[in-house]
Amino acid sequence: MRKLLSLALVAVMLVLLVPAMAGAMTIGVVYKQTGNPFFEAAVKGFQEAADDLGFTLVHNGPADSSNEGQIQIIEGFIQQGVDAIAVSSNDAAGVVPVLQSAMEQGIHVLSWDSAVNPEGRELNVDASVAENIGRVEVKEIAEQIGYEGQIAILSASSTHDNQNTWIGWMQEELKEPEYANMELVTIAYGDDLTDKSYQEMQGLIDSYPDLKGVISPTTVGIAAAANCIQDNGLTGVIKLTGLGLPSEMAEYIKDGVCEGMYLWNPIDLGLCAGYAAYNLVEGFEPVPGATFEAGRLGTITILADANGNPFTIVGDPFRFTAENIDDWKDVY
Amino acid sequence: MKTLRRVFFRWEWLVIGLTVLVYLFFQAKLGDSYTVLKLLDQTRVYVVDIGFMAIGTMMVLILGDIDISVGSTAALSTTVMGVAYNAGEGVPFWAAIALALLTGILCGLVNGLLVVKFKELFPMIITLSTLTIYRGIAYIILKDGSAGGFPGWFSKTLGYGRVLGGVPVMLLCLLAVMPLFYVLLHHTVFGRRLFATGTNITTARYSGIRTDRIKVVVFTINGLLAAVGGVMLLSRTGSVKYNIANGYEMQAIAVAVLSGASTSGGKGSVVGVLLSLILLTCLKNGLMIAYNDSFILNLAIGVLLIGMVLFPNIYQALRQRRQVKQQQLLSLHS
Amino acid sequence: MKKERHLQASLTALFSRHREIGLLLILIVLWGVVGLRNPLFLSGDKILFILKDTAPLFVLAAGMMCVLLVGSIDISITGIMALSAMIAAMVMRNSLVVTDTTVITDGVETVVRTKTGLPLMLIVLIAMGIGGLCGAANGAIIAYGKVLPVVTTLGMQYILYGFSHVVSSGQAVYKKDMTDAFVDFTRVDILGINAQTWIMLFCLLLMFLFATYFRAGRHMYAVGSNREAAEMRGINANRTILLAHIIMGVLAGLAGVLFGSHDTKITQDLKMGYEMYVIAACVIGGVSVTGGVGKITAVLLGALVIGVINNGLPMMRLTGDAEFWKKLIQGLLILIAVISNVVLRRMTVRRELKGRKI
Repeated sequence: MRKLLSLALVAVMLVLLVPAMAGAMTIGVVYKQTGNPFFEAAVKGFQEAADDLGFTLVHNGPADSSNEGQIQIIEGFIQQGVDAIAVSSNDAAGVVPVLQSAMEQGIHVLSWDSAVNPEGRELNVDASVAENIGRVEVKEIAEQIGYEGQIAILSASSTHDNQNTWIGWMQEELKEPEYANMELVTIAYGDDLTDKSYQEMQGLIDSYPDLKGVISPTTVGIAAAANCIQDNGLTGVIKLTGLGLPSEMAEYIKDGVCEGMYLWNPIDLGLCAGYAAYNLVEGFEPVPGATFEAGRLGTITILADANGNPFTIVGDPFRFTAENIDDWKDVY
Repeated sequence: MKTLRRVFFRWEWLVIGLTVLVYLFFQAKLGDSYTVLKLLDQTRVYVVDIGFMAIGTMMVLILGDIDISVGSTAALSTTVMGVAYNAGEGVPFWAAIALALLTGILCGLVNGLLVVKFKELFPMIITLSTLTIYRGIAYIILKDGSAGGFPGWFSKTLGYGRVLGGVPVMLLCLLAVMPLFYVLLHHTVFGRRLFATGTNITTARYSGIRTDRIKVVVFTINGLLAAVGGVMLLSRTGSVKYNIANGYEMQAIAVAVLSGASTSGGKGSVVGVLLSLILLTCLKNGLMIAYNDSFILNLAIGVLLIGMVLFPNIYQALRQRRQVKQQQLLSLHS
Repeated sequence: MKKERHLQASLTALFSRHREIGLLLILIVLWGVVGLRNPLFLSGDKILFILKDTAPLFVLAAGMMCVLLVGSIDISITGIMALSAMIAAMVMRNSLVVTDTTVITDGVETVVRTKTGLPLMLIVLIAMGIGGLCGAANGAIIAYGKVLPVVTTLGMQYILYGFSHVVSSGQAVYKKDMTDAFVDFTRVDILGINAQTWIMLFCLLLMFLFATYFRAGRHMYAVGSNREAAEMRGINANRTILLAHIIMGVLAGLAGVLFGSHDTKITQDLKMGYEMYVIAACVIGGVSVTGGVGKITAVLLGALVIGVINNGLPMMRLTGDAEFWKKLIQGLLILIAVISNVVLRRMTVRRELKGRKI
């Protein structure tokens, strides 16, 4: 039924497109950094939505993951006359004025993956509920280390809002009684740089000889940590989990350095955000409780966060293990 | 003197010619999105903040020195501004801006004094360390947070405001300041001394010019301009994190070089800076919209940077070779 | 009284003539400071680790020294690394053959996965070759095109990263795309010392011999000190500058492969921003940015200072709040090293002036 609907939609779009190309809807997607495989996969999702619904997709990200670079790109999209902009921001507050300027000119704005402050967007599409992401990683590492021992967190940058949110939930989870025998010794910051993350991990190994587990909720960090653990011959002695890219972590998972890690499907994330953007342009009001169709993902409901701001999620984090990693390592 | 002027004018015509070519190319390719009006608006995004820094950098280049800490100076100045505005009851907005400018002046002053006191060190190395230190201080002040919440008009009017049907307010600020520097450089004694110091520092010193003082003043002005550029940038982002304006020093140098300033000193013009800013707006904006790829944009800028200096050199070398050959023929015949 | 002053004078003479001694002292002090905070830092294993970790930085610094000696500079080294490593890695990926063999030991079945492809040496040579080409482009534009080194290499940086992006289509090379030999390259120990350390020592030896005994090496010092005088002696300054940049490029290609093997990852923006560390290593090592002065042994120590700082700071057990000090310390240390450079040189000049008999 849904497929028929989208087919009909596409047909109508095509009919409208043939005489007047100028009427085509264009949606601009901005991500944190260009050339990043996670975002390349997300773009695949957006493209899928674009193909389903018949809008034109333009996308770009700064080469240096800077806020200023993103502002330039957004201004470029405004200049090209896009109908909606979907942003995964490097700086939640720094990108607000330009997005407000866009909204004043009638462009719809939503954020995805890395949220923008509420005053700069109409809707936020999260991959999963932040709370779930934080809690599930603590549960995973606890199970791996047998619910006792020292653990550490290897994060990205202390300026990343989503990192701090997840870490906050991890610390909340650790307050639960079943983790009484576990201790979070420190949080290290690898700044999403491979060499710095490696050095920080080495520092953890050298500073905390009783370290049993590491959570690294950043794809660069978890890969560097896995590399470091293996280089030190501590596979299986220090357990590892976090958020990782299947293609990057495939070898380490197979070697047993990491028994289980999480990530969500960026393709689905892009697809959902693409549909959301399209619907916003079509007049959809993102109030809590409202729903919209997202192709093969089904019906998506708008939720409200602690401050009443509308957001939605795609699903739950997906667990990668040695059994299923081969299915995913060539996907993203 | 006349030959010098001829070289100057040739460079500037080159820039203008390129600008026209670039504009026509992208106009044909992109149509409606790429109009003079839209480009005018985009100057906010590409060139106003850099423009202020570029004027300062160009002046330092005239001296024959270099300053790669302008981005960090801007970062520290805007950090001070943000924190001062938000601290406790908060200082009045005008005081916050004044503090930012003061910070810029201080940073530039420190750079200048270090350059003058430690002459053995290339300014590149000194400003390389102040680059890290200034940004480090900004990080100590702000840590991982951000400071924002400025009065609405700051972003609305300065960052995104337009007057006269499309001319950005920011651009007007830059254009208002440029004539001042033009006069300063080309029609004052200070400017003369500046060029003299850059052309040949020993001769200048023997002529009684206090080269040390001139250097310190120029670096201080550069710091001030970097702070102004930072404030302009801040009006567009609305909030400051310690990593604001990262990498801006290289962009400022690129603009200064494209304006005709030579890194060996003695050359530079405000008009050149204006022209290269226009060229860069047209080029960067066109590339951004046509290709939607940040790496390609940088690649094109790199080619432009090298090409703009290389091709005139090759042309010069070929001409000289032809002249020498002619002279050799003449001497053979006589 | 005279004896004391004599002793003082000869001490400063020692320090200023042999910068290495001062650097060695700084190293020991740093090592001690971290060691106080975390005794695990003082082990012999850790020293070997730091040596191995600093190897790529030294390789780059050795090349940078050549470039600085002739009075030039190269800010594009990270771009050269990225492009050459990426191309070499993509060639490796294309040649990759993965075989899973089931091995039965003591009745237990395990699957052993081997990845083979092009020989390791070939891949390293490809990277070094491409690096050399990039360096040649730099050198040609600087020497023959008469474009200033800062401008050339700044532009080249953008261009090379741009090519790296286009060539790789944004796709990184991961461990699963690498041959076993490539991965083991930086992990194998020969006679108890890591391969990277051996490469570093080899590089040190080669560079020392080249700079001291080979004509081309001595020419670099000449061109950097006084270009006109060198040319009057018949030295082809342009060719010397070109050679310096080619050496830099080749070494950058090598360093790129070392990084790629160690990180088991090669991305299109490999090591962006790292060039400042390399310049810092050279400056701390006493290489003059205006040309003509520099000793490879001091550069080694300069690189080690940075290596100790980078590896020592994470071990200082600094908790969250103190994290931000790390960023400041690096800038301060460069400034201190650089100022000590100046102070030492001034003392040298003063001493030499005093020693002149009129």
